[in-house]
Amino acid sequence: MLKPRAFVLGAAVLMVCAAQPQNARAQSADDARLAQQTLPDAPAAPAAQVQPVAPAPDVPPSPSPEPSPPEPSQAPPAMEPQSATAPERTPGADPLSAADAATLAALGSDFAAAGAAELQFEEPQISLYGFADFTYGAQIGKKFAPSADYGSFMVGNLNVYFSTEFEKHWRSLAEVRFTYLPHGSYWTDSAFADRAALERVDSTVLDATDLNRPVRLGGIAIQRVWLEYNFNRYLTLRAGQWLTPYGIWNVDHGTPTIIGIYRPYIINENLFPERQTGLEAYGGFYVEDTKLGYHLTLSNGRGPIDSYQDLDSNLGVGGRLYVYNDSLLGTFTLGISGYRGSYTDRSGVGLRVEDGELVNFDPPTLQYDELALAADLKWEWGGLLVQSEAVYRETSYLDAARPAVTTVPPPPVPAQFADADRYGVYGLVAYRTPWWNIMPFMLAQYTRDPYASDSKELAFGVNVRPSPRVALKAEYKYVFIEAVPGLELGDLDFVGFQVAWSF
Amino acid sequence: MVSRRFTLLAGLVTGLLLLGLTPVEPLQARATRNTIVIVTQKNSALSDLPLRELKRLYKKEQVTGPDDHALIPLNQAVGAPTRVAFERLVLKMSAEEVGRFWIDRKIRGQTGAPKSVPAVAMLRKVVAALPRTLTYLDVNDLTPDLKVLSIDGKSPGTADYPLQYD
Repeated sequence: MLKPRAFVLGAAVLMVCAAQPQNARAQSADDARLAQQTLPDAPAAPAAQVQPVAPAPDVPPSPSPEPSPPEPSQAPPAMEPQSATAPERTPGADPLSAADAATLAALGSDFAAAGAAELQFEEPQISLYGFADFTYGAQIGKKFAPSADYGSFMVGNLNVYFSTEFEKHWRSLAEVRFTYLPHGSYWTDSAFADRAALERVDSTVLDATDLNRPVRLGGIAIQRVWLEYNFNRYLTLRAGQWLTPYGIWNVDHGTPTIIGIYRPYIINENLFPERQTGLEAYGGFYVEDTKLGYHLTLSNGRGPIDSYQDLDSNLGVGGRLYVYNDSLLGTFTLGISGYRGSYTDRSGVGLRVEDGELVNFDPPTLQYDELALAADLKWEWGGLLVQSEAVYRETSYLDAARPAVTTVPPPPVPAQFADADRYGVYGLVAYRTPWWNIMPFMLAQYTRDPYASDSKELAFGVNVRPSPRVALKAEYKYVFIEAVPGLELGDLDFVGFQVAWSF
Repeated sequence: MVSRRFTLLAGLVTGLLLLGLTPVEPLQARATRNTIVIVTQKNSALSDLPLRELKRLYKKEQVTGPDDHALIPLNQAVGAPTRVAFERLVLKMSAEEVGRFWIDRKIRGQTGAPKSVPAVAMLRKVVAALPRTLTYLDVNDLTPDLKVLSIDGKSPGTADYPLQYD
């Protein structure tokens, strides 16, 4: 026999539940328990503090035959009891506590960008990080590369970054490389200069603070230092010294990021300037899944002291256009780059008197115009990486400032550098396997270099990332070298092992 | 003899029939799949985000809201289950891949990952208080002072809502 009172009670409970919005329905004991389980960092409140929440104004309370989605307002977990009639929280109405603000200050300046008055940080947030690498490299066949007779351990890079986002829209980055150089190296700008005529730099000094024991001094190479202002997604303006935004490798820059150990010749030989000092503008916009982006650069161009002085009136101009697509077939980037500028060197000390006036007389001791063009391609799909760059550079010397050839072997008769075109291409294929993040890779490259010799190279290796911050690499490369007239060079092969890490 | 318990149950069933409703389950029970919601300030004019823009936002590309100001994405703590799931659903990356992605970006000189707020309670507070911030939460962590965004026009709880996982 049915008990009418219980029947009516059951039906009424059901109707009340159905009429409640979902945010209130979620306010069950189970909800609170679950919320507490997922938020162990928050203090649990007594169950008595859990209060029902009124329907949000934008939630229609009428029952629906369809299961409706969760509404914006769900029941609060027990640790954050809400008033049943609490108004919408606004920044001004419910400011963060001093403790909250202090915590946020430690998190960075993004919050200052939000414009919250209580988050005006007095000190900029500086991010200090960097990378380093340690390499063993050796030639294992015929050896003629300078100083390559013996395998060596080496610390190649110790680069430290100082990054600051100190106010809305502003960002600064400085990167310095600490190096053992110049100690032990040579004062020259040519890798093929006759070293017998050169003297090794010795920076050893006596350390008066340590009983005059000798200490070898190293150096600091500023890699880049710039300040940028972000106007919007279409335009960011950067001023200072920056890495030339061409291709892939030059921007990847750091050894933990780069797949192999040895840079391709077209990158290593700086057919484009590796870095420039001046202005850079960049930005982009999306069309569906495709981004169209650009970089424009204006700089001192190249020169012996281009980081702080231009020795001619020809500014270097350059740019890059790229298309980036992110779709089901991974990410695909295709770019083209260009650079035009002049290299000029002068003694910097020339003065003479003309018509009774003191005038500068400082003709260039070396000057050439250059044009560099490049194209790059990068495709990442799952663990697959396909990457290629092609670079072309032509140089045209001013006859009065054309350098002499000082290569080994010396030319049969004194000669000067001719105008020349250099170009090359490399292709890299790699696959990051799911097993310990092992990435086997293969790199092939071709270089046309009338100043040295043409070469083809094939490299195989493996790149392992046991941790996102650590890259272990092993690489073998074989270089097929074209003989130059009068000199049989022979092929070369190298092996290298490297650990690169970021910190 | 019919027990009181049976009578109560019959009343419940009848009530259901009268209302023409399917059984109303608690949120956690009803969500057969885990659901991540994207939230912002209650008074934000933003109500929907395309999934591709969400991905760009969390890859630190500049994405603007209706007021044409850049949105500020916030992360949960590294390794938090919801963050791991979010990155797998939206960025299509594992935690390892995400780690490499951000480290490589910083070495290139680009900006790092969106700031992370270590505690979910704090994260909710921040997003509720600061204009243009947004974050992701497990649906069970929602509070009424936050506004849930639809993704690609689909609201959480609908079958084709993209931020669900098993």
